[in-house]
Amino acid sequence: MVEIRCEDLWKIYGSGTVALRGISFTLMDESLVILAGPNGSGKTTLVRIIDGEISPSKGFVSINGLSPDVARAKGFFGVMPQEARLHEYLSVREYLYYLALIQGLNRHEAKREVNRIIDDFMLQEYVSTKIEYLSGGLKRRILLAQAFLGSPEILLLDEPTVGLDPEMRAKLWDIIMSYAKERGSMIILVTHYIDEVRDIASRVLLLYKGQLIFNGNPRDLLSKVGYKYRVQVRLRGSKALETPPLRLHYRSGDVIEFYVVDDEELIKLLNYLVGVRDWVSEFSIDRPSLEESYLRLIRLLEGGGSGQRL
Amino acid sequence: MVNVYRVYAISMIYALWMLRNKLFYFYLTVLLPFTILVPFLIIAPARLGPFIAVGTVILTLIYCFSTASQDLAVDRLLKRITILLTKPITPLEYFLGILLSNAMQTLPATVIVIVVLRVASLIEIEDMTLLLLGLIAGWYILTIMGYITALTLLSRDYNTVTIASNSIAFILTFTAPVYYPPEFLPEQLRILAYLIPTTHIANIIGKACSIEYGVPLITTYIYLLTLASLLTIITLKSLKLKDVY
Repeated sequence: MVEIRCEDLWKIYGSGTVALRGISFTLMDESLVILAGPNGSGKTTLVRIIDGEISPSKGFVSINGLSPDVARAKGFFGVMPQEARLHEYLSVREYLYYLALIQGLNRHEAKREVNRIIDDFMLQEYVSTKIEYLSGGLKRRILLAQAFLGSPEILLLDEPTVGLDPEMRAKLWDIIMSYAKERGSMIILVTHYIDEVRDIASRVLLLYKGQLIFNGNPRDLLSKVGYKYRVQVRLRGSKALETPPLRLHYRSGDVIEFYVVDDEELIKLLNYLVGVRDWVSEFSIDRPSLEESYLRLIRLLEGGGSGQRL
Repeated sequence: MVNVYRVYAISMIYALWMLRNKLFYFYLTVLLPFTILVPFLIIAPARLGPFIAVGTVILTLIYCFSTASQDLAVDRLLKRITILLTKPITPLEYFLGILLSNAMQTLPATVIVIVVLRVASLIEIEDMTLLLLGLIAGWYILTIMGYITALTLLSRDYNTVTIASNSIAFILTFTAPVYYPPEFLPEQLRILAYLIPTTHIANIIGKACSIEYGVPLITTYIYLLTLASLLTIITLKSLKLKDVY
């Protein structure tokens, strides 16, 4: 079991930019931790401090009691940085092999591990190809694959699927999710696609302007949105529904969204819709997304909102 | 504790770029020294021929300095160093990897240069052990100097590191009396020249080939041992791998 402890982390860059403002949390026995926040909220800075790439201006990080500067602490990690290039003059197999040796495996173990990673990441047909000749998506896959070398106990993946087409993104999520389920490693995932991994996430950390504004499980975050179901109703023509049964609803053109807080309210709304069915062309029910919850939190912090309340 | 596999892997990652660019490798390590050797031999008095030959060997070794500094700068520029910084590498292992990489890149070229100089009768090797000692001292000290240069410059962007390392490489090659004997310099400048490590590396290689630079070997040994120890302590105690940021 690995423990990551961050205590009062501040990061002020030379330019005076304050990237982190007193971040504190402890992660222990987590499966998948989502680290989310708007661009510039400090996610990548936090990851780089945790994996020992850069030092905090104040505060400290410990990995099982060790500073991340210590090589032994880095041995716990597999990291996919957001921005990194590969040594492209090497072939895929060479690159992974040398990084496996660097991860601490001996020659025999490294060869076996590289074969496993090549299979897991479906890189078989490219093993002898120089990395410079591969597409951007494949390079991204190799960048992700190298993080998994040696089955590290902590995987820090900084936007692993950014810039990929939906098919490739789905493939990479499959790999990451099956790894999270099978290996028992702690995966810290920086992503904007938070709903794509919500089902297996054990914790969500939300950053906003360098501050940790939420630290809890996805269910707690969903509760922040303030409703359980969203019912979307498209009206026939421009006829508005008179006396809608719920206070919490927004209208945009001929579409009304109802925000339903519990099952009882949902039944009440459905009964109402049956009564006015002549005016309804279609309707749908879905649950709130993590992204909505997250945006709602951000809006609350910014003191604003959106949508047109009737 | 040093993990030899890790050191080997780091060295291969850096060495393979150069070793796979054979034309560039040939130009930098063999052709370039000879393009300076030939005009120097034409314009200089014949008695300076052996000094020019030793200078050519030193110029080949200078490549250790340039690669140690510029490899780091290129890796930083291209954001390749990021991956290595997240791996469990100690500063010592990283430095040894760079050192081994330089050995793989520079020593074969140096051997080729020496063989050509020998075949052309520009040098006579009298003491092979001393020659090897000179080459090893040059390889180690020039590599560690390049490494420290890259990690201690206030601005570590590629252009700054390249300009700084080229300037220092010029001083090490041409300001130091390696293509000519120190006696050519005025006395005050000669004292300064004795502080430049390549003067002493040339002295060892020169002695191995019966070329007299006028510096007692014991002085050279004391100087190089002191310098190597000092630079090694600085590297191991003061420099962290993350300093490349």
